[in-house]
Amino acid sequence: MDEPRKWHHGYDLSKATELLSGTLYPILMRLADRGFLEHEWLPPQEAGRPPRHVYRLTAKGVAHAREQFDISDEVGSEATGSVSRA
Amino acid sequence: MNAPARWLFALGRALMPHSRRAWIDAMRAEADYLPAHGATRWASGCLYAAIQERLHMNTGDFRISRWVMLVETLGCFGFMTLGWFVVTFGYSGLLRRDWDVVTKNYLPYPGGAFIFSMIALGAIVGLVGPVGLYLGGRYFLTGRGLANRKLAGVLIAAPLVYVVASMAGYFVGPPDWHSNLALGVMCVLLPVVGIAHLAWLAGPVAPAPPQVVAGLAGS
Repeated sequence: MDEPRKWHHGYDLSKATELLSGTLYPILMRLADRGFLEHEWLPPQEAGRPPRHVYRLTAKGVAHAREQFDISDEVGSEATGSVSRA
Repeated sequence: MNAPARWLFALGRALMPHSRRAWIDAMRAEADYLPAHGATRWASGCLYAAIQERLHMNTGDFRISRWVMLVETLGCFGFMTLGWFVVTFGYSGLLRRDWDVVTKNYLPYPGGAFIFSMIALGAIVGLVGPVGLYLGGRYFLTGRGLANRKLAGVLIAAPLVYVVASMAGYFVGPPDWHSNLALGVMCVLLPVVGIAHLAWLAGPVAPAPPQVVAGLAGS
């Protein structure tokens, strides 16, 4: 979420999320199906290499992700509060 | 990319539903940018993703490549064809028995008439095996499914009737009736699945979802 509108490669996302390809790509597919993710093919930077697929969150995806982070933060602070009260 | 990774991607591409093909192509392209030692692991994950997508039934997409259909055809109809061949043309097959053999070896014994009837019925129903092999082979060569709904209905109903009769024989028939019922039922039900699939493949092709088309347009 540091740079939500930046394009990322699948391998970068795999490293950043520590998800293996078999878990990561089904998630990307579902996000794209729901309009949260856009993707396109980038022409190769070097000759002899294939075009590369890149991904980034759509505006709708960014809004949804922020909403989820906010909910997560609220739940986290409520849980911390109840632990400290106890 | 090493050979096992290429093989895994080829299998994954064959298994991936058509509407998701752009994604397996994306995974394969990504593998070319990975460190050499990571490609096989990456490809294994992609194959797993393709299997997941294939099993994700709510897509309703059972369209598969011709090569996968070839494997499916052999798996679904091969056993039944062998069984049909043995029952019909084998050493003690139906065509090698005359009526004297039937009257001496079957009819005098309790349940013998039932067993002989089931063998005769099996020789008829078993024709689904070679017919299915032909239809699957035709799909492999031409991409044509089974468009004739009446024929599909008969080819599906006949094995099911045989299964019902066979199970009835297991419960109320003679004790000599085969104990290997589960294997028999599988050999009969697999062709039903194969025929249903071939009939489904004759239906209209669903258009690709717009987001995949957009992805391809950028290539």
